[in-house]
Amino acid sequence: MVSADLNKLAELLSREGFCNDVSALYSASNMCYNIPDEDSCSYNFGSLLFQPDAVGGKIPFNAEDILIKFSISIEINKINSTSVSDPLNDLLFDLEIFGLYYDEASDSIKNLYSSWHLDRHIRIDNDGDNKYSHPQYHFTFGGKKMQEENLDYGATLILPSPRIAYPPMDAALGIDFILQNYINRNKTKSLLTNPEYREIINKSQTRLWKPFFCSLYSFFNPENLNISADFSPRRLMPLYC
Amino acid sequence: MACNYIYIDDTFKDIEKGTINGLENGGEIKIDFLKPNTWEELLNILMGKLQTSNGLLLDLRLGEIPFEGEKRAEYKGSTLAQELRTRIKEKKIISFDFPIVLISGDAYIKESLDKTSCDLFDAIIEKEKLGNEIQYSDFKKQLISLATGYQELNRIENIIEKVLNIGDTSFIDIRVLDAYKKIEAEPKHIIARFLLKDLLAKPSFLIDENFLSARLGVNQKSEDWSTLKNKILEHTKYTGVFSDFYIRWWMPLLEMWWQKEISDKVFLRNSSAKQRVELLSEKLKLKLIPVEKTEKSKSDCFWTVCKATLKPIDTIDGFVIANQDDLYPWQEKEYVCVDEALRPTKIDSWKGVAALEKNRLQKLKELYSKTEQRIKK
Repeated sequence: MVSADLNKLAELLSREGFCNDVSALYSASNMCYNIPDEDSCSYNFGSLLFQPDAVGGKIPFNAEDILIKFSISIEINKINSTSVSDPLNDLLFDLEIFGLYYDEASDSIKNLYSSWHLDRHIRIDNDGDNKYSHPQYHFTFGGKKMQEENLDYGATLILPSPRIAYPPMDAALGIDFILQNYINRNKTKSLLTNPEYREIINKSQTRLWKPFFCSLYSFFNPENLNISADFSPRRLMPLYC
Repeated sequence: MACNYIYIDDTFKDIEKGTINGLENGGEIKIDFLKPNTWEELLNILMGKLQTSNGLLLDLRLGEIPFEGEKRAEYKGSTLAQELRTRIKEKKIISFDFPIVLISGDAYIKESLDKTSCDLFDAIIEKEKLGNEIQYSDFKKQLISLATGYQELNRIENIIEKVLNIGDTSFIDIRVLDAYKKIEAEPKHIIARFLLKDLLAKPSFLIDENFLSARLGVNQKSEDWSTLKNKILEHTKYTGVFSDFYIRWWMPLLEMWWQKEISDKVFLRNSSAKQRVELLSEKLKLKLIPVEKTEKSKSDCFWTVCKATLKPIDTIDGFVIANQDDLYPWQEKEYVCVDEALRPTKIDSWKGVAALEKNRLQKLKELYSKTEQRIKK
């Protein structure tokens, strides 16, 4: 069950020392308590914090106290056994990255901020007017969150960034994304190879990624796959031609 | 009618006399002072007196000073509390339950009390703090609330809906309901302990006024804060046992109200205080002002409250406090803000940051020391 998975994830992250405070996951787990795997369910949380490991190539190079804040609000659809369809009904998924640096010129500590937003594109009637490629699920750097912060971005030029097609993610896949991209592999090895953890991730991938990749695959091999019109391969990957 | 407490202590000097005066001042509480006695005699006296009393105040070390000639009590306050709790459980002699509060010197509490002994008491008060850090007015309110809370518990069945005074438990964390089921048949002091220690003492799905202000992003000095918290949010207020002292709001009900009445698009947790207050002011036509960030905070998506300064912070701007590894899943971790972690002003109230945060704090100190070095130069 999704609820049990979230609860188990909270225990694993806490036990392995990746998060100091997993109350967000416990609370999300309670939101979908007792709902069977195949049924629809929803949960949300606003702040699961991770401390990423030091990485080379960061800008500014002297950025310190970097924290990643993961927030999600998700509505998972009932499992559709007759056709390949959108596994989600709603998704708000944000990774916000906070940091600080010492600015010698002003002799002060300044805030740093960036964000990644995984968007589930909601289609409206005049969607054909979209000026740029708009995959149904896409990752975007920046987005509204970054505009709201109204910080000084120095000499960096930030344009509306390309919407990079990416499979949908729930809390488990979001956490896995953070661990695999921001935390040193030596530290994550034990958790990433833990059978309980792998089972949770595998279940989420089956629930969310299987329909996504089946639909994408069907573009080249449409036989034997009943693809829902609102989850067609072209919607997921508008660059298909 | 005054609330009657029996107070047992082997010493009766200025500090004890001051405690009695402080509690009796105003006439809401009446203290019946007793010196220790032989074990059997004291229990006999207590069995009689407890019939007309609301509760018991106990010193921890009852054998320091002889109660008669050379006779000293050969038991501690915790031993007496344990015996009384056992008699209640066995339904021997006393048919009703009552609060037991420990009033003792800080050093004795630290030296002699383990966790199990602490669980015997509804509250533990350090003698030295009374009249200073703990105001008598607050302590009196706490004692009256304990007395009326126990009276209520004695009157009602141990059904969770009655204890929490709610019609529907579907919005309560299932783990709380499970934990409560396990103690449902236990004596009233076990129910009281569950409420006082597991639900009301720490932030959970029941939040106090400081947390309410943080989660709504509203400054408590706002002109219409009182209208918002007491009238508009009246239906979200906790009205169960001990609610006269522990003023709390149900967080799940607050979130449901927000989604229904304020916005189903903007989530409380992810929005800034400014955004929350704009929505609240517009929808409710109230005069509200947003909470401001602390000096070193980055975010104004406030969610928790600094344990030391009581100022709202986003968890991103806080450090998890040490010794919180055995919390229940429904209890929230407590934080101190960056400002407090860097320059502690009330270290007694939080002791230190969690082990996993120490490295981060050290690096942050080094970063901030750069600006301070310039000032020194």
